[in-house]
Amino acid sequence: MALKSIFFACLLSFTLNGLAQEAGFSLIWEKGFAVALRVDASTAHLKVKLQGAERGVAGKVSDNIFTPFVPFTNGLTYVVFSGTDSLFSFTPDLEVFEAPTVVSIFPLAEELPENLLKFYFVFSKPMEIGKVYNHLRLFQEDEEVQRAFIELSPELWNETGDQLTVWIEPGRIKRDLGPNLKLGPVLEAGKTYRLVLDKDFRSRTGKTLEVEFEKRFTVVERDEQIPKIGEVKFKLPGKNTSSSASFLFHEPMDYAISTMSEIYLGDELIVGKWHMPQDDILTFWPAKDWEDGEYSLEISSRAEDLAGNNFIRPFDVDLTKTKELSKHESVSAKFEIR
Amino acid sequence: MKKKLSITIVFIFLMTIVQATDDLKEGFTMGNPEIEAINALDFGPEGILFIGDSEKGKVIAVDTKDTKERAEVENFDISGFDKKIAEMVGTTVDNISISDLAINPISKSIYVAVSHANGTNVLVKIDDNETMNVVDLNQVSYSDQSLESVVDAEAEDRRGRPLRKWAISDLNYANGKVMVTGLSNKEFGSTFRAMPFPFNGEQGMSSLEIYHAAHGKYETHSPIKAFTTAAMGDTDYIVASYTCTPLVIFPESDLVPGKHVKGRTVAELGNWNTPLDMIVMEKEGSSYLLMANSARAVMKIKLEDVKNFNGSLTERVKERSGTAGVDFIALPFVNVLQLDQLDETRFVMLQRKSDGDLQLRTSNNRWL
Repeated sequence: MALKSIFFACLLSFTLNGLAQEAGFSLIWEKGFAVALRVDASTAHLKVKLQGAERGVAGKVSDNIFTPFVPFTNGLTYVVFSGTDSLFSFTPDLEVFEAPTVVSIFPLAEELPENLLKFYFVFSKPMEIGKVYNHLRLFQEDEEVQRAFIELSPELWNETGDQLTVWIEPGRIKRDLGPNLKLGPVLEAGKTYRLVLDKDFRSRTGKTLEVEFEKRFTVVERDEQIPKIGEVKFKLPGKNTSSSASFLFHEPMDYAISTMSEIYLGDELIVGKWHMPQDDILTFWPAKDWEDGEYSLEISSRAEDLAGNNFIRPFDVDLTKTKELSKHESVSAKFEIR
Repeated sequence: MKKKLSITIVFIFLMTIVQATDDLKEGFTMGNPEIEAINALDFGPEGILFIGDSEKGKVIAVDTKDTKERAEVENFDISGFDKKIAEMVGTTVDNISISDLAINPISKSIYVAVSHANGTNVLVKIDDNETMNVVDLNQVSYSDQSLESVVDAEAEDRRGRPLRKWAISDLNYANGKVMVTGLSNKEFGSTFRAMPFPFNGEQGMSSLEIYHAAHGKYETHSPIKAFTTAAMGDTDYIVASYTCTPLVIFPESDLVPGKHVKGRTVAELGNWNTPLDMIVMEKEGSSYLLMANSARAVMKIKLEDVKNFNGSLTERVKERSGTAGVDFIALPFVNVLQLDQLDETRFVMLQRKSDGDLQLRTSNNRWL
């Protein structure tokens, strides 16, 4: 582990016996985690235990630095030993970290279809892994909806750990499937729901949300239609500007479409950023000014609407009635900037 | 981690037939594979451990050098398993998750994938009921392969777009191939990948369709949760279970890269739980599939019944959340989270007892 990290003198410790009174130490921090313990004085048989634990923390010792395989957990107290003699304890400070927040949740709308498939949470910080289903609940009025989500393992986090995809139980969405027949759909048209993430859900550094997050929404009828590229409308800027181009869909789309869309001028990929200010609007901000010409908006055919219908097949497909499905990798629409 | 006893597997859906090599560790290098997540484990031959890393989108083959055979191995029986693991990684039980376990078929040591809520993943090796250690992966002999290879048509098509992140749901090694199933964070589907080992950068991908007996119609959108491999008669199969719990078999010869493959549902085991793990055990010449479930007991299914079950389920299961297809027997093991074979007669379970205690237990083939 690199030792070029910032050193924080840990002043929160207290001594347990005479030996420790002479033992200065510091924690080595990296990206919000105490990744190693440095003891100033030469210490034989340096060991660390979680306070109250029988077993020692697994780690490596070199030059009076104890490096655990897993960073010390912020807020927990550890006891340092020389052999069997306890020296002192320390607690990596949890309070220095900001509480995480839910920045946004997609879909953004307050009216959602009965066969809604996914929610995306966007957080201000990377969040803890493997625990979200202990904290996520769906309520209709004050009654919790059972089996609302499919509890996937591993959970579906993005690369930076600050965006989570949650699937509503697909067995309850697909018509005729056992859970759908017995429990009915998770969401029922005409009713109002609350999606709740409780305040105890934590960032990776260990800080809780502190306030409960809630999204209220009303459910409308099922969406069984696939999105159609031909119905996309354009709001376009003029040439030699770097203003955004907006693409208005005829129905709300899944948030992932913002990472599954591209714009080309001929064969040239136009670099820029995508945003989704509304569930049915995709906005593109180019990195450079627009040139005049005929552009192509290309969207992966696997991009979905809110109900998991993609551009080439519905989510709840009945193949006994469906003609052969398109195998095109993407769909495209042309537009001109002059 | 799944059992591949007496299985002869030839995957013709791989893009290239790979010549057998005498040196499986050819191409391994010493260093830090910089593993970010340990989501799935399975052992290959010669102490090679395959690690599925969803964060890096890779499969890493690590030479554990753990190749000393043990003649006698006592039953594993460890209570407070998660508490002991948590103490060893310096935290409390509420901060850890156990993603997978795999038993080294040579040494019989158990390797456990442990993930900390802070995003750190470690591999823990358990030699016996008293000895557990973290495996230092900072300096190992390894090779790896990305799940998005240059021959991946999907990757070529994306032309610089951010790649989807694949969360690896299961991984198995059989007869020279590493097979991986994954879930995407952006679309709801099922893709099956296979790559020859030693890795050469190539892999085959098939998207799979399944037939939900309870649904009565073909459909594709359901991710594979757990799978294993099995030879039935003269045919080699992949046996997969989905999030809605139908048991589906795919003849390997049907799996062709880039094509949709319609699997044959041979059992509808109820819609009320998620399959967690499966292994194949043998007894007196018969093979049995053992499957752990999130909300049901461990199920035992005779593979001969699967073989003799002709056709796919075509009628809707009449009793809601009922079962259909091949028979299964529920074994008296509930809340089993992980399974693996210890030797020819024994298997190991990670089981949550009714009092909340997580135990590593050993059972044997008297239940077969």
